[in-house]
Amino acid sequence: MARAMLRLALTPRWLAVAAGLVVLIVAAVLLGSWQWSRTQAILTAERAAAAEAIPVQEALGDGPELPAQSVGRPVTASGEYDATRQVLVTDRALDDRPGAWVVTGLRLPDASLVPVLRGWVAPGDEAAAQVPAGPVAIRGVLQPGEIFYADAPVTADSVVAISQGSLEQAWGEPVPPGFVVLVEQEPMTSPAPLPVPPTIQTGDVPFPLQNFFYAFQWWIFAAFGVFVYLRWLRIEARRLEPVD
Amino acid sequence: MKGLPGAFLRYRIMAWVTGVVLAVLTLWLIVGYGFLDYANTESKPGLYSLLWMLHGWLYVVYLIVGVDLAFRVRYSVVRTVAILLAGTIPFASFFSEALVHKDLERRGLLPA
Repeated sequence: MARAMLRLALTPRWLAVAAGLVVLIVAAVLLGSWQWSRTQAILTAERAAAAEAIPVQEALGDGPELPAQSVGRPVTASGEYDATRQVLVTDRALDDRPGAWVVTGLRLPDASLVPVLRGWVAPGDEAAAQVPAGPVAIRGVLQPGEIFYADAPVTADSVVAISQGSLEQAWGEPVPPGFVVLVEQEPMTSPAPLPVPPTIQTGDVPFPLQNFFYAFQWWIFAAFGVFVYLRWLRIEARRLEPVD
Repeated sequence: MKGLPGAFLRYRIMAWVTGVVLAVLTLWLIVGYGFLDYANTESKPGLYSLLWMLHGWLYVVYLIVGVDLAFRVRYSVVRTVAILLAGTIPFASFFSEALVHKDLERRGLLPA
C-alpha cells in the first residue's frame, strides 16, 4: 500500500496537489505565528498600560470592593496626612526584626481618606512613626484589604490587620476597600518608617483568548491539511490498485 | 456509502450552525464598527469576542464533518475545498448545504 501511495503521489496531478498543500501549510503556519505574536503583543501592551501609575481614586472606583484590575496597580495621590488617623499594625516583622507597620490616612482634596502603609518601625520608635505635616505627593502600589484576623480587637491607634472594617472602627469614618503601600513620597521626612514591599506586585490583565485560539486553529488547519492529503492519497491508491 | 445519511446530517447541522453564527457576527461587525465605535477596544462587548472564538471552533468541526462527507460521496478536490471555504464566507454555507443536498438527492444517495 505504502509503495502504491508513493507511486501515485509522484504523478504530476498529485504533485500539483502536494504543491498546493505545501502552500496551504506554510500560509497556515505563518498565520498561526502571526496570531501568536499578536497574543504576546496585546499582553505586553496591556501589562505596560497596567504598570503606569494612575490617580488612586480612579483605581479604587466607586464600588464596595476593589476592582480586580486595580489589585497591585501603581497609583499616585496628593493630599495631607491626617495626624489623628494613624494606626500601628502590630506584630509585623521586617527581615526578622520584630516591629509594627505604620498606616496613616491621607486626606485627599475631596476630604476622602485613603489608608497609606508608610512602612515598618521598630518597637517604640515614635520618631520614625511621626506623621509628616503639610501637603505631600505620594506614589505607591494599591493592595486589597487584609482579610485575616477579622475579629481581632481594634483600638484607636492599633490594629492587627489592615482591613476596611478595622480601620473604620479605629478611625470612625469610611475608608476604601484597599490601601496604598508607599513607594515614594515628596517631600520625604526623616526619620521615617522603613519601606515594606507590596505583597501583591502586579495585577492581572485580560488574556487575549481570541487571538490565542486563532493561533492554534491555524496550526490545526495545517495538520488537518496533511491528514486529508494522506487519506485521499490512500483512497485513490487503493482504488487504482486493489491489492487484496 | 455506508453511514451517508448520518454524515450528511452532521454536515447539514454544522453548515447551519456555523452559517447562522457567522451571519450574526457579520451583521454585528457592521453595526459595531459602523455605529458603536468597536474600533475602540473598550466599547467591544465580551459576548462579541466570545462569539468569534466560538465560530473559530465551530469552523474546525465544520471542516471535519465537511471532509468526512466529501470522502464518502467522492467529491473532487476543487469541490471539497469550495465546500470547506464556504464555512468562512458569510451566508455561503447555506448555499453550499443546499447544493450538496440537491446533488445527493439527484444521485439518489438520500433515503426518500
